[in-house]
Amino acid sequence: MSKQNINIALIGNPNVGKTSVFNQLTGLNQQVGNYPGITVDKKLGFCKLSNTLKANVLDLPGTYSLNASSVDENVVIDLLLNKNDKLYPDVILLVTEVENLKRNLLLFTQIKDLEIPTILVINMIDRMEHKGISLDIPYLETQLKTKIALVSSRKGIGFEELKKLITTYKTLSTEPCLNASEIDEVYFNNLRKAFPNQSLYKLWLVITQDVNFVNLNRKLLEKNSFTKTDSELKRLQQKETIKRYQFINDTLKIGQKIDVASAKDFRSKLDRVLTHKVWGYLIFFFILFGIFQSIFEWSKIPMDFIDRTFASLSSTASRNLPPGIFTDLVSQGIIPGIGGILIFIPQITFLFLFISVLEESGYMSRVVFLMDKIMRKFGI
Amino acid sequence: MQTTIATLKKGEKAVIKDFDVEAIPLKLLEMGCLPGNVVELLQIAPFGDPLYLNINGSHLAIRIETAREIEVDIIDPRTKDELAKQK
Repeated sequence: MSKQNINIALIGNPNVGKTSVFNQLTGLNQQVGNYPGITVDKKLGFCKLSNTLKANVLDLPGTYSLNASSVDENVVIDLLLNKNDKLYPDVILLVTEVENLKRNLLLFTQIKDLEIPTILVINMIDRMEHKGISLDIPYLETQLKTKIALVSSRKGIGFEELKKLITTYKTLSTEPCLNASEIDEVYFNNLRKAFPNQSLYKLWLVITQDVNFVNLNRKLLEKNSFTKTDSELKRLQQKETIKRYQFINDTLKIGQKIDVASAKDFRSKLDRVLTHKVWGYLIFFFILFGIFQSIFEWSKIPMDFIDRTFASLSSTASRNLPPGIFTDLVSQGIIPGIGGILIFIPQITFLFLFISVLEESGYMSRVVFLMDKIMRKFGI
Repeated sequence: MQTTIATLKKGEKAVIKDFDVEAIPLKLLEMGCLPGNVVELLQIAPFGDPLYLNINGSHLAIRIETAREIEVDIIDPRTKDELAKQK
């Protein structure tokens, strides 16, 4: 790796548009999806920040917090706790969106505790006015001890400014924005005494997440400080979460203004119909029926085409090749065999197309809500 | 009987009072299900379960067993003016 390449990691809640920010920065056309955990693996791209500075941009799976509960979330923690990883970020872009800033900031305060330079990227600012939200950026920047970049990945606004901001990463504050160790002073003081060189929050994550990195693991930590039962740890985690939210609430009370009148939106009306006792099921039934019908109707044309092509291919082969076992193998075995598989491709294509539309529109979550009681009996 | 999210009626708003940490997934706390936050019951699925909620601005659905664990105080839907009139 050349000496001028810095590592940037994109972190944020699911569905805040991390991948579209990634695309804007790197110019790659990464596929953007809406399934939970679509970015299961890390995605890497390159970005030219200025004439002298280039960066590796890493797109990480969406996560709500550093308390991991799924494989994708573990990917994030593993990277952030391992300073020796060659992709260990020099700077983190914490991607959030205007509408759910409160929830997004929980992750921000956790990341900040890791003492890595962090820029808060607020995405979807083009929707801010529409939602009646206004932000006091200078106030938020001082409270959160960070720099804020306002962007809209959909309209491509704010990325030049963001790139400029990234080049100044060495001057960014690495100070945590709240002191989470207050939740149990004795415990954390002991921890600090036992491991004076490590960041306190990192140790805390190792204990609660049971992840291992380099030469630190939970057993070692427990031997050196003192043990807490799992339920005590859970209580502490709750305390920690509450404390973080208190800080966020206090900050946003001053830094964010929401005009409630314009917040009442289309979504609640649509939800009322889609999850209705009668209409919900009817709509679901019609959508399924429609998908079923169109898969068969639409794929008929390409299927017929494939059928005809392979039939003529097979007859051409048997006509033009000398008769014998080999010709029979090709004209009656291989060609119809491949045709028999390929003929299902149109149907499968349409099926997956519909499934991704259902997922991306968010309709699937409504169906889960409707069907949960029934499906649970089957363990789904 | 104590009031929990499970005893709310559709459209009712309440403030979360208390719950047993052990019974609630940490994920729910992180989504904003914390004492002092406002919860609104948006929709009840057929057969009364699960419940569709708006907690602290996040839309999410939880099962009734979880909902029973979360104690709440119902917010009086009547405005201040109406209450003043009653007095």
